[in-house]
Amino acid sequence: MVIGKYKIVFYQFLPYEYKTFENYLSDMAKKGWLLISFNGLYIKFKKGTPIDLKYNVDIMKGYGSSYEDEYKDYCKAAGWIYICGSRNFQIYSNSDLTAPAIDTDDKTKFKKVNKPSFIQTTIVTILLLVLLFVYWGLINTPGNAMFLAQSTVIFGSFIIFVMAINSIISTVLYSIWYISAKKYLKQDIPIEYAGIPYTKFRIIATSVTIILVILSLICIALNGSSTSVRMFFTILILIGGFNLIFYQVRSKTKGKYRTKILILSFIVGILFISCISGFASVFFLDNTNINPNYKNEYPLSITSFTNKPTNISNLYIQNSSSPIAKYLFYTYGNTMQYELFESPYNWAIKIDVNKIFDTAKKYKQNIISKNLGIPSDIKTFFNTKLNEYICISNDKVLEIHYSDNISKKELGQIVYKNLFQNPNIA
Amino acid sequence: MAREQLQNLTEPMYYTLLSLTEERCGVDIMEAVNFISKGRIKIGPGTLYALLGRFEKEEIIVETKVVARKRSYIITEKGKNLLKEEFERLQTLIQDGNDILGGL
Repeated sequence: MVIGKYKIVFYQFLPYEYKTFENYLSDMAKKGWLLISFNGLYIKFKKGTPIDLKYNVDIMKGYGSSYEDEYKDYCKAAGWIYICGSRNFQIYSNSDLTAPAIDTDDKTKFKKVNKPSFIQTTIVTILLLVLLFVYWGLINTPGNAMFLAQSTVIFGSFIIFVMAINSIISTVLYSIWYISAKKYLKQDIPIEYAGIPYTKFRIIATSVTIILVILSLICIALNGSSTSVRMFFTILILIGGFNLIFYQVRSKTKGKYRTKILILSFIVGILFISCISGFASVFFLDNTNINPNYKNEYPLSITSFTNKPTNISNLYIQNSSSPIAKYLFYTYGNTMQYELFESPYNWAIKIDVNKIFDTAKKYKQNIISKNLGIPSDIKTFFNTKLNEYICISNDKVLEIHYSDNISKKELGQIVYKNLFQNPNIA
Repeated sequence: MAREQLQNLTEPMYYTLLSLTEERCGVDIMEAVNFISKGRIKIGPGTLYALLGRFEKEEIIVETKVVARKRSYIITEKGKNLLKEEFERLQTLIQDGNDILGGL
C-alpha cells in the first residue's frame, strides 16, 4: 500500500526465512524504497534515491539488557548501522556489499533463528488446534444440523479450513528446513537460508489465506442477519484491538518490567475485546424474525391446523439460510412447534437425519416408524418421548409436535399438502 | 572441563583467544582478529558477542574493565592452557603432515 512517499507492506516472513527477507529489503532499496520501520506486523518504507544496500536481520540475544547498546556498537564498528526492529528482531544495513554478516558462524545463526521459528510455528499450530476444538464443540451440539443453514458457520468453517491448510503447510515446511539444517550442521555445510524455494510458496499460501478470510468476512457481513453483522464487527474489533494494544506495546517496551507490561496489556486487551463483544451482542441481538405476513411467508403455520384467531404474541419464529441449507423454527405457544430443515444436497439431509437419530439415542428416546397415510417416498417416524413426528423426504426434514386433538392421518395430510406436495415452498 | 565442552577450537575461537592475550574490548578484538589472520578470518559482531559470553561463562576469559559501555576482556590461565593445548594439537597435525607429505 503506497501512501504518498511511504509504502506499507504486510510482514509475512518466518525467522528462518530471514535471508529471503534480507534480499527482499535489498531489492526494495534498489528500487528506491528504503526501510524505515518494522513492528512485527508491518514493514514501512520511504521513497528515496535508489541505492545498493546490504541488509542483515539479527535476532539479538540479551535484548533489553545493558549489553544492547554495546552490541550495537560492535555492529557499527563492523559497518552495520541499526535501522529499526521489533523487540529482539533487529534490522541493520551496510553500504559495503562485501562486509561479513553480523553472524559469521553457522551454529550461532542457526540457534538464533531456529528458536523463534519453532516457537512461532508451535504457537500457530496450538492456537489452531484450540480453535478447531472450540469450533467442533460449537457445531457438534445435539439436536439437528441447523448449523448447516447458518452462513456464519459455513463461512467460519471455510475460514478455519483455509487457516488449517496454511498452518499445516507452514509446519511441514519448517520441519523440512529444520531436518535439512541439522544435517548440514553435522556435515559442516553452510545452512541454506537464501532462495529457499518454498518461502515464495508459503507466502503465496498465506496471502491466499488472508484474501479468502477477508472475502469470507465480507460474505458474512453481506449475509444480512444481525448475528452475522455482530460476528463481523467482533472479529474486526478483535484483530484491530489486539494489533493496537498488544503489538504496539510489545514493540515499544523493554527493560525488566516488559513481561509484566505485556501480560497486563494482554489482560486489558482481552477485557477490552470482551466488553466490546458483549456490548455488540446486546446492541445487535435480534435473532427472532417474526414476519407479520407469516400466513404467506410460512406455508405450514398455526392457521394450517385451526381457524381460531391467531394471537401473535404466542409466536416465536426463527429462520436462517446459507448456500447449503435453510432452517425454520416455528412455535405457537405450547400448541405447536416444528423445525424444518431443507437442502438440495442429499449429504446435508443425511447429516440432519443422523443427528436427529443420534440425539434421540443419546437421550434414550424411542423413535418408531409411523404411517401417516402420505406417499411412501416420504419416510415418517414418531419420537415417543417428545411426542413428535419426523417426516423425511429427499430435500426436507420436518420435526413437528402438535398438542391439540388431531388424528395422525389429518396431521399427515396437512403436512403433506403444505410442505411436501408443493415443490415451490420457501 | 572447558576442553570437553568446547571440543576443538574453531578458527574464530582460536583467533579471538589469541587476540585476548592482550586486554581488548569487543571492537578491538574484531580488528585484532582481522590483523592477526592477515584478513583471512573476519569475525562478525554477532558471532563475537556470542563467543565472548560463552568464554566468560566458562572462565576462559575475564572482564577487566567497563568504560562507558565498552567492556574489556583478557584471557585467563585456564584460557591460556586451552589455547596452548590447541596450539600443540595443531603443531602435531603439522608434524604428522610433514612426516607423510614432506618428502613428496
